[in-house]
Amino acid sequence: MSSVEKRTTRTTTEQTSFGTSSSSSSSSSSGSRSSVNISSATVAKLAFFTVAMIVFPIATYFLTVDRYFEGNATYAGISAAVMANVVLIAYVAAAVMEDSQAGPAPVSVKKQQ
Amino acid sequence: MSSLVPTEFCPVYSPFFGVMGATSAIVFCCFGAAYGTAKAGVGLTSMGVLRPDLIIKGIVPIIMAGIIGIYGLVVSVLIGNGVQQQMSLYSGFIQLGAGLSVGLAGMAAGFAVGIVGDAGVRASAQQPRLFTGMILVLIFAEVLALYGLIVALILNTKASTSTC
Repeated sequence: MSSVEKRTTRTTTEQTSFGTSSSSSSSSSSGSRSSVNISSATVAKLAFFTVAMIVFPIATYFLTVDRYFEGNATYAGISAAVMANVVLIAYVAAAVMEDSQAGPAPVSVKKQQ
Repeated sequence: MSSLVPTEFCPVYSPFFGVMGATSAIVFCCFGAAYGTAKAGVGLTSMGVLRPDLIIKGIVPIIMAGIIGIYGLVVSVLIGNGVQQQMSLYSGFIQLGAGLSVGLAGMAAGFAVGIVGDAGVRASAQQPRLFTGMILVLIFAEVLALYGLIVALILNTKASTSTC
């Protein structure tokens, strides 16, 4: 019985310690550097590129193998590889554009540290 | 229903080599993509602790490692479409060679992408002008897997031109 009570108290203390540590880390992160909240636009962009990287090349292969290349699988495979690289270039362009919109790097943070 | 009679040129065991080609394409490319993702991900998480604003840019090596897996998937789909119950041993050997070429080339490219991605994201956090240099080196590493894919595609076209 006492062991059960000890276990419950230990779990509650663990929960409170998690609560305090998370709140303290979030306060420290928001206090000492810029906001690190991931906007929903970023998450949506990441999700789009993840799905696109998986779906676009294989869809391109299956769509073009019969419709455009009359069963010639080599050209369809080449178009799938091209589509995979197009998704990669689009991601790099989106990342660089987002980085240029966000502004220069916060060098002052390092100096404060 | 026509009976399938094994001949000298189309023995019973020839689909084994074709299926092994399809397997080795995806398995070895996934080895390379997994190592590239893991190593670059370690660098990204280490860098992201102090520079969370560079996380989105730092995912680029991981995307490139994923594309190596896509190359393996495309070749194994290609080879899998060409495997039949009665196919010539010649076709089976060609499909095995195609699968191995993209698989081992993808494994090599994945190793390169992982190591360069790890060092590159860590260094570009301190020196932003290194980002374009990292991208260039990653492109050269990725192209190795593309060479394997091209060889696999060229080989695979010859697999369909055979008679029993």
